Amino acid sequence: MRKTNAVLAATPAVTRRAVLKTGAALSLAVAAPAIVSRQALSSSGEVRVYAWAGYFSDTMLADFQKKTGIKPVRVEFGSNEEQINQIRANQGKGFDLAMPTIDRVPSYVKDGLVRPLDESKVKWDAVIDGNLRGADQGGGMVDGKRYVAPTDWGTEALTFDVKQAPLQYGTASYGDLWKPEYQGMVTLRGHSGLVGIGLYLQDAGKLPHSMKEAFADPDKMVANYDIILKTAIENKKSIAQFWTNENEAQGAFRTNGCVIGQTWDSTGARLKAEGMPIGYIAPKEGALAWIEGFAMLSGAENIAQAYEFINWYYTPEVGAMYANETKINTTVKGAEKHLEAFNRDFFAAAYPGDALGKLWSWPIQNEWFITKRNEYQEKFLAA
Amino acid sequence: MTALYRRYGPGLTGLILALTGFWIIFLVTLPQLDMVDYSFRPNLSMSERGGPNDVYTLQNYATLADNAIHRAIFLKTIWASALVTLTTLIVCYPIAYHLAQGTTRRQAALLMLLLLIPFWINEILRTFAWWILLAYAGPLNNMLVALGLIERPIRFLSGDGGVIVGMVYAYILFMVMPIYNAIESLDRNQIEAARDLGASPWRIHWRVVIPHAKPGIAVGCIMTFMLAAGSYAVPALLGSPGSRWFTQIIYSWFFEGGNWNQGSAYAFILLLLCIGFIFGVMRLARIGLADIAK
Repeated sequence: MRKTNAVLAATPAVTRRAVLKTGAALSLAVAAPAIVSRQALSSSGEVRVYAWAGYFSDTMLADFQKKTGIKPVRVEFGSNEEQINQIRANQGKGFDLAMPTIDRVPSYVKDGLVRPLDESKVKWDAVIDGNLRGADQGGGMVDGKRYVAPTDWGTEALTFDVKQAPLQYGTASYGDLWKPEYQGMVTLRGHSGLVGIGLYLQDAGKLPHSMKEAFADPDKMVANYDIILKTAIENKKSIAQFWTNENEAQGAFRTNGCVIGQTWDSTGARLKAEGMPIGYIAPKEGALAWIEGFAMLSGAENIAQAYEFINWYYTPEVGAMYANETKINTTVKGAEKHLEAFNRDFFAAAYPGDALGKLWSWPIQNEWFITKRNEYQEKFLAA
Repeated sequence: MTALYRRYGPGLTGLILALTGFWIIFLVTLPQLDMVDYSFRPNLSMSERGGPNDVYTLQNYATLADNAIHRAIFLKTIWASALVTLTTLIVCYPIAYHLAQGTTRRQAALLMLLLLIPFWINEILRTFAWWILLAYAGPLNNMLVALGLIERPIRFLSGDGGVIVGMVYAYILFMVMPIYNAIESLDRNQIEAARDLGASPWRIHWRVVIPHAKPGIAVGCIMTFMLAAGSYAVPALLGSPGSRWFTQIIYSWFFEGGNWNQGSAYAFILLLLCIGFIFGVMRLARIGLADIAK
């Protein structure tokens, strides 16, 4: 579920206006007892983690507390947008670790919301080399400083009902969403749905520029997205439901009559794990791939504990526990030995043949892109 | 103020004033002022704030004027909120009348309890329950198919239907309570007199009950309208690809686009126009603020 802005509301008003500063000072004075008692707690060993909904279960947190004696506090969010705006509202305070997707990290750095990791304090040897390199190159490293300890990677591709909308690797395409027989039974997310359409049109040779270029140059983006939006609106009647978080995407298939959709891998996997007739497969244009990981907030208060949390995660058992629970792919070396058979089978079915070589990694998304992207999404949703 | 002081003494009066003042100043006025301040500034990254680009501008307000889609959604939100208000009134008036005039004290208490119980549950959960009920593969569709009344499930959650149903349900109490209060103070002899003189039930309501209940109806309508126009949870959960509420656009500016300044401008416009709409309706219905405060 979408979180209410409890944290936002609980934070004393911080404003740029002098006229409001008195107010902030006064409300701070009122809140002082709460702040003092929180510091008292943190000295006894606490780490505050802002995590994706469903990523750290109670069992995992209990395991962490048992092994380290540090009390973990977990607050959850449902999307990258929710995450960055909440942290902005708190101006980098309130949590020790957050979990941005690496393509968004440069925005965090620009706004001074995160701090570079102390390289000597993280057990980098435990991380799969390719994932670490991928994270560094995809936005996790800014100006030679490493900001992200990658935890997992995953994709956004096609989730389908195996009886009503069967798909095969090699022919399966983002364009399948718009087949007339699935009209009124499709789910997707506004902004990434547009990227899926973009890749489909790119393969068909109907875009003036490549989709990678559209993320780097505002003019090329507009040229591409005008065409994408037109196709999207023409096909909008196919869509039964837009999703914005995991819960809504699952609901589309569970109770809202969707048979095909562009969703996260975790959506397909969790539905399948419950025994529903659901498959998940990379389209021929390439599944949208992301890496995410721990970033330390600029206002982190429990730094030693935060590194303990990262290093606790970087053990094969915990990495596997995480992958088994979330159904996404951990970056921890040796975790595969502890993976459940379900995860291995799901992975093999999702990325057959050359699918792994064709993964389409999200390019870095700068602020101008996010703003512009939101305008197109808004037009798509409102049409 | 002096009445308050005389009644409660210095200690309690001070506390009441301090709490009210805290609420008005810190929880209402200052955040609103901050939002208005945001709305007149450009969207800058944190490092640019306070720099040469951080100037006052009307650009955020111009966006709404230039954007035909957002304008249409804005008007639709106002119109749909009025529809929600009217539907809620039609549903609630008979309930309130029955509660106030048609029952014994015990029955009224029982009915009131039945009305209240669902509201002990969080609004989001209640709305989510509606989503499950009305979903394509939900219980309502399953039942209708099992009874053979329909062949294929119906997509109830298309267009604005789901949103309106959800809102009417969510705001029933805000309409029932003020109308109930108003009708309860009506002397039953007046109704009986009208009946003895041969008035039809419609005429009794039109000429006796409704004029008496007008302030209650006005309060109920104003609260329902404001809640409907400003609701985010209901359209977010029960909306369909074809329905977009203005609050969703505001949310999207804040949480998807990261443009808080633009979002603030939209939120402020919604606030202003809602206030304007309400004063307009009050004037049309010839109701003053004093009637409402009664």
